[in-house]
Amino acid sequence: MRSEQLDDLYSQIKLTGSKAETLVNEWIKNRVNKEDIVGLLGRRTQWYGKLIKEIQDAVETASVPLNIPTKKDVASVAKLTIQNEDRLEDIQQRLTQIETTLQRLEAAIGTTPSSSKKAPLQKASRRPLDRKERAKLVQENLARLSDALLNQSKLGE
Amino acid sequence: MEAERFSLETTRWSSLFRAFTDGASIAASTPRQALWKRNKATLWYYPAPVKKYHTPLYLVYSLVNQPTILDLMPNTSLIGALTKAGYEVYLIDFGIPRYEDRDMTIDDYVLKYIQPGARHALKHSNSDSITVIGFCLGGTLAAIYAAMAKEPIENLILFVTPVDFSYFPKFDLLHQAIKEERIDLSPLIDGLGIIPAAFINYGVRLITSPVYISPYLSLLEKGHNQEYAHKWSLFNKWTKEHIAFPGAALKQIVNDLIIHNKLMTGKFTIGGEPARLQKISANLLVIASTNDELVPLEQALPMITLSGSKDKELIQLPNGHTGIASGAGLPTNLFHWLSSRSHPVHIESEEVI
Repeated sequence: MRSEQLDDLYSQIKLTGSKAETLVNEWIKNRVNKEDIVGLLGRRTQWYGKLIKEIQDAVETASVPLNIPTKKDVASVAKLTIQNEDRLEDIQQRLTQIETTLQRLEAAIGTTPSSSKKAPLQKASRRPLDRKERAKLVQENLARLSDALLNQSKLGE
Repeated sequence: MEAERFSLETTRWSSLFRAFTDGASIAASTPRQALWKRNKATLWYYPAPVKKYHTPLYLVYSLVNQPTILDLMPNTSLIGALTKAGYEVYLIDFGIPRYEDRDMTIDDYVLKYIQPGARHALKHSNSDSITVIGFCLGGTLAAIYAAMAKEPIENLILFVTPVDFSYFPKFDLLHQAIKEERIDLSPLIDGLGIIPAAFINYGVRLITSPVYISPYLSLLEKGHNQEYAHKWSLFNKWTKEHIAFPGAALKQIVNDLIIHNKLMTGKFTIGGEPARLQKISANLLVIASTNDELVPLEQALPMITLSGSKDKELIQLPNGHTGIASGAGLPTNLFHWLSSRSHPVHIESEEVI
């Protein structure tokens, strides 16, 4: 067989195979989309769901005298870790929000007092803090808020 | 000549043989780093070799498969193409759910992963706005997120994304039976807790191609080309790497989207708050495929009319469901659309000067 003929043969196999695949797939899809299959699925999903539940209940019961953990036990432990991670994430998000707010406040304090009457902090008559004092104040507040949030989280537990 | 042909045939048949025996391993082809992790999810950051735009891209992939398809090979990687175009890319990879994640709902995906991921991306990129790109069911999640987001979403791009779940032409009787609750999936989903990856694979196969031989015939035809054979094996591995689906999320999809079609009626809620697509104000680009059996055009097109965006556009492509995500045949008008709606780096630097 010549080289070109061989290439043509592979192309023909691909073409014929693809056509056959399309036909078979259409037939399968049409066959599945029938009332009798729908009825069967309706009955079987109920039955299968019930069967799974009964098997799982039996395993749970058997796990007590056998003194072995079930999949649910292992998942419960994993879930605890996920819940703790969620709590930490929540605290971190709040801290980020507080940090952003404080940065904005710091920036607002840092602006020249007579620049605009709309700036909310200009109403305060206290002495403007210098850079080091402001940084210290922000750090102290952050630490205090972090402690408070952690305490709150521990109380929640 | 004959020796050359013999060599070609050896390569061809060994490629086909390897397809049944070996499993190619998929590794990210674009350099990346993990920025944030929560449970099984990871926020990946793909830096641009030369940053040309301030607006970062935030990718949300589907829940039924892994996002490795977005960065399969250097030459045909969608992520690689985007970073080369000058965009910083962030990808939220949900990971593979396990039994302990069986109670995860769509609300959890949006509020615990997509939204915080977007916040981290915004902070990391130091940008004022973000472009959200969703793929397939990830696109549905991205649209839901965009409908309730407090973050500044500049652009929303949806690839083959279903929003109208009333259209299942090939399985209309099955769909009707589920809607009328003659088929009640709840006992089965509750019993399983988490839907195994194999079930997802069978479901996707049933909708698209229950008998699956044409890819192998393509390999037989073109397997003498080693580059093609390598790409084929990676893609084939990806198509088989479906992931488990949390039962609670599936129940929510069946109940809220398939039975009540709440995205269309505007009744879908996230965390108790309404997530109406009409509230989306970001520039919208919908990319749909005319040969997509998994998400037909009729499921994707209503997004254009539903969205509240003033700037919205539709691109229809002749690809299949995964053609675009795999980076094959990326439309040039996608890049034009995106670049004209992203903040370029050079203009801002001129302003600063």
